[in-house]
Amino acid sequence: MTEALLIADPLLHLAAAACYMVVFVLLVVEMLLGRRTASAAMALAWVGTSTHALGILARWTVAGHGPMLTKYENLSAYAFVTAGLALYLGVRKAGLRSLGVLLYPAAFLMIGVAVYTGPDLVNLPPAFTGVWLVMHVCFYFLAFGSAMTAVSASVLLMVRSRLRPTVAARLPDVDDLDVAAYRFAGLAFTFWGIGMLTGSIWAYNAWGRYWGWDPVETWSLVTWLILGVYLHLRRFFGWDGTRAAWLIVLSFALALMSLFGTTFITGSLHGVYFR
Amino acid sequence: MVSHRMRVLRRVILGRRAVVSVIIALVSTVTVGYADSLLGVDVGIVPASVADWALRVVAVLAALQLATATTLLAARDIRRAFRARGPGAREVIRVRDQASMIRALRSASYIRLRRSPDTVRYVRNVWGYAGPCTLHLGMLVVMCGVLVASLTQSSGTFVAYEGESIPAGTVPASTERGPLASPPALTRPIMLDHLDVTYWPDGAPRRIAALVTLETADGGRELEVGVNDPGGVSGFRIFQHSTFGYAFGITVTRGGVGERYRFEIPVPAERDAASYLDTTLDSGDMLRAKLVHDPSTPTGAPLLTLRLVRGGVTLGEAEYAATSSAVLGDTEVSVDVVKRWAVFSLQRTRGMGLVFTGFFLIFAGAVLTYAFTPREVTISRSSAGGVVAEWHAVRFPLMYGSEVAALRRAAEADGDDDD
Repeated sequence: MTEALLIADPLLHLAAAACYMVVFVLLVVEMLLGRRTASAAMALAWVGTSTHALGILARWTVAGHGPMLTKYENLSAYAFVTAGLALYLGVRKAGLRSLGVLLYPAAFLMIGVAVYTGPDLVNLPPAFTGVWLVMHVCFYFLAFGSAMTAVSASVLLMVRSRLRPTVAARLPDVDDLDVAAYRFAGLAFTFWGIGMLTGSIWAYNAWGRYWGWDPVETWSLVTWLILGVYLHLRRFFGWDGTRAAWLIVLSFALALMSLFGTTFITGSLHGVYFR
Repeated sequence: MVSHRMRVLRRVILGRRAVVSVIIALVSTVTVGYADSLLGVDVGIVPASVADWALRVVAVLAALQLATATTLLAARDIRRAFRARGPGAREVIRVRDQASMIRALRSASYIRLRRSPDTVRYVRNVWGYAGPCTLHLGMLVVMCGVLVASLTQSSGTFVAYEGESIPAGTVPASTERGPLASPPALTRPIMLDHLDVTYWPDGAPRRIAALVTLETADGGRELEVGVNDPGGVSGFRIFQHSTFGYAFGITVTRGGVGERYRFEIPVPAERDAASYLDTTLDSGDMLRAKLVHDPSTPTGAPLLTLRLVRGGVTLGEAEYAATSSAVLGDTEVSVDVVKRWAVFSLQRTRGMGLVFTGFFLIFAGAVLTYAFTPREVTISRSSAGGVVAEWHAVRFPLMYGSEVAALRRAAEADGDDDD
């Protein structure tokens, strides 16, 4: 049984990635050519997300813990949340379905890198226990998915004016994209903040300190504060449109640095989760 | 006059530039603190204490802003919740069938909050008004908790050996404490009774826990602590670190003269790895120690190898699975005692309760803000004699286009069926 699940895990991930790529193609066909392919795309997105969930469950069963260690597990979970949000938008917010043209390739890319790094199993270190750790990890997954959605809306907003009018007409209005970016940036800010707080409570139990100027902690705090600057610039200074979109792109770059980049350029206590 | 002063104060504290400036100051101090910790205190950009104080000062400013913002948001939200009518809307819905409109409102979970002879006000998600205020209150409470903890926290680490008591009053090594904290001295004797380490099949530690005895006037009290499972005692919390190892009591006898040494060697991180320790003896010889786990035991019992080196030449080498003796060249080296040791932190922190509370407030505020956006409908008589409804969303109005469309359809429906 264990052997079967170990073999099935990466295969299910690859199948999910293939589904996401086809969904992306279908959404692009609808956007560029105006063909009615959205229903097929959403049906396939369901299949892809379900397959992905099965892959994560298979690995969870074998490893005995949720997706919180190694590049493979983390990237898979980030991809799952990203694809899940794209599916939610596609089904419940049809006006924002076209955000999938950026979200699904991102999920595909993350799964690709995850599989490339290898699905080797790693056992949990003694400190990796407790409900606070689970909440910490889950809220960061949600924060990343929200930030990814916000940056997708911002990028679409920026490129919309450069597209042919017929293609642009199939995209959401600039106002809708702007509001979606604002709203998901707010969600990312909130989830990121809760993720930091639950992480500090976990760190307090695990290491006896809630804050240690660890590189990942510090970059994470800077990311959160920049998201706060974005929200306040919008609220008080009336920033919107392209100017605000660029700030979201900057915030997202910082988020990528916090979650993935820091462990490569400097030693970090958090590095264990992304080895 | 008072009102004018309040306005000025509000402008100074909550002015757009003030809010953004404090956030940028926070980013700057965090970045400087980070750079300082990267480069090290000795060659740091600024001394660590200056960075700490800079962060505290900016945190106080941020807390002041958050307190003011929370108060103003609370006043605004209460005013919004109980106002007689909404602020109006760009698009006014002309109501042809008021009964159909009200049915649609009720089915969409709008509740009637205010009614007067001329207007009726319905609100959906009335609790959502409290979202931003609760969110900011949560951040304020966390900021206060962080400030209190930073000022009053005291901590230090100590090494405990199995079966050895550490007397009361001992101040742990490498202590850190805030400006308002006292040193983290042990308030009662403490002894490590037993260290329990279990391993994964690949040899990595799975669980590290310790049973310690706190000696009291009426005997002793046992307390179990583990990694990620701290214990509390007399206002302090004891944290178990992941570092542990073995202390070997070694006697080196040469020419009838014995010398005693204590080798403290950490357990290697993985089962097939080894830890090393080189010690220069009083005689000038070097005793090189290598510690590995004995793979034949599930809990990883120690297997010590000692090699005696004189002038670069190895005189002898022996393995010690337990207390035993061996002759290495012209020297007898015996392991007399084997004890486990573990590293603990002793810490007294105030303010963590505030951080916990703030976490729940932020969570609640976020849910109320994003999942419960209040929408208002004010139905009133127009000057032309008809009935109009004004729909207003407190946040993200563009996200509720379908809801407005449904209400519009209900309001503009032909009312003949109801007559």
